[in-house]
Amino acid sequence: MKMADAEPVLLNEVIVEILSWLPVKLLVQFSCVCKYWKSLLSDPHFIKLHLQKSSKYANLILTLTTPSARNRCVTSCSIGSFRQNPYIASEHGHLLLNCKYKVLGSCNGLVCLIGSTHEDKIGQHWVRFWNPAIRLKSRKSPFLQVDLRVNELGSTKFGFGYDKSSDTYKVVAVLCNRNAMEYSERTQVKVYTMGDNCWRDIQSFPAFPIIFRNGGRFMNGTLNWLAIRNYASGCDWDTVTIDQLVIVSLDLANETYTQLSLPVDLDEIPYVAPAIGVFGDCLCLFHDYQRTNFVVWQMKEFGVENSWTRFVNISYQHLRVGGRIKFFSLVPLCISENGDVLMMLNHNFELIIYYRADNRVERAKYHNRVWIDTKEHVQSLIMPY
Amino acid sequence: MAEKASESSNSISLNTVDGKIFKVSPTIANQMQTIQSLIKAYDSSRVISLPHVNAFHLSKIIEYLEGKSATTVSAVKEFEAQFMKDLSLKQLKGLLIAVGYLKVNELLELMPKTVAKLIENKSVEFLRKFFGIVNDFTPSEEAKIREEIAWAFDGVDED
Repeated sequence: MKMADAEPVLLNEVIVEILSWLPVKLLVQFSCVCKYWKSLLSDPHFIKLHLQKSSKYANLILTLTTPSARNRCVTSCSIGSFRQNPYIASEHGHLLLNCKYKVLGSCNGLVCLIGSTHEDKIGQHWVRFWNPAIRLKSRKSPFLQVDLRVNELGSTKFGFGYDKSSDTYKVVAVLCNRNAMEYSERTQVKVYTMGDNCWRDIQSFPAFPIIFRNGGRFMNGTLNWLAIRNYASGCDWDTVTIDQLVIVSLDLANETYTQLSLPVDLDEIPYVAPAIGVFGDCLCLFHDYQRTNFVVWQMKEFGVENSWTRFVNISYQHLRVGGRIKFFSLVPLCISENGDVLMMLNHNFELIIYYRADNRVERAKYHNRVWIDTKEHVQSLIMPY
Repeated sequence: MAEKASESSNSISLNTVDGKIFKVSPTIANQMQTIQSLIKAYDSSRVISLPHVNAFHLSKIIEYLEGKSATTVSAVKEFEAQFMKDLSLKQLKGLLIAVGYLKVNELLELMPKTVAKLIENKSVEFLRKFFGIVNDFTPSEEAKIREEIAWAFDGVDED
């Protein structure tokens, strides 16, 4: 970088440090300052330095769908602005997705989109990677073909995460066959590494994934699924016992599994299958309690089984959630950065805002009936290929 | 009392570029890496001359190094916020140059974030001038880049 005159100037390292604190959009603007600043946008060292800083500011990736529309709109915003104005929030790069696509997950600023079609008993899946901050999207990955006579529609579960050891992004597909007699045939697990040209096989699952609302959740280099141990072929939720429930955690570096127990205080099997999610940088477990309460647990320290802490326990009555399928109708959206506020969506497209400190419930109704899905997200310069 | 006396007898004299002499304790001096290595090279009685550092900068640096030893974490945070609050962007730059020269690592970590916040709404031209950078793009190269990144410019104010 050439300097203008003899006046003392900032050291280059200091300038780079200053720039690493800037939002992506400004870095793109400032890329026309000089060639060196432009080169930083694709410099792996700078990209990592910038990610370290931006990871401290939690954002969300929102998918908005109206019941009538065939398309989905995906956008990112900060948790703060989502709380203040949940239905406008759209700061960086909208993306209009057709109905074949869904947002699978978000990691280090990359959003993984999954596309699915099916025809003549064959399902096809593929992924694309998108960085909304720099407005770049990858091509389609190779197709993953699924025989729907073996693996029923909707029974293939995906997860997306980052493997630090190889500095790669991986998509994992778990193909489930609940009727297979042999344990080893119940699941088939495939991995696609961003930039590769194939889905490769890895060891099958040590338990049977719960199908309901259960994509793999990324946490600390692992993808996590709620699953059932010693699953009897073809069985239903009614016959599952509490000690069969487990979280299967796939380490993306060595592609091996570990199993995590659920909270010990969870001593009776919920009426409907629980779900897990990642909120506020913690793995969370959501479940129904005796059809009267909605309970959320947080694993405060990932991998430490005695760090499960009951985060909230709220009655459906207090939340004013009615109907027969109360648990199904609540979709947790986000937990505020200080952990005080839990936002959820109910089946009426109403936003429920729950304040933990004073056990207060607020509701916001939106006239356009918008269904939302959220994933935690950060801004980065990472290239989506 | 005895400790105080021995501290002052060990004190190190620093001469700023505008000719002001500061006497600082070894504890303070050792937190400036450049001084630390100079002390080793000089005998302790000599006055160390500092290019690039004026009296205002050095007094701010000493103020920081003395103040940040506050007792509680929240008191340190409060002090750090106050420390930079009233400085202009130009003053921050001068201070950061001095901090970079003296290698005061804690300030090198702390200050860039504050400077980043203040340049967020600035124009490309302002930044070139502020950082003393020569535009090495040809006009046609720059025009092409600006066209490619036009989306990033919605809603930018002039400085």
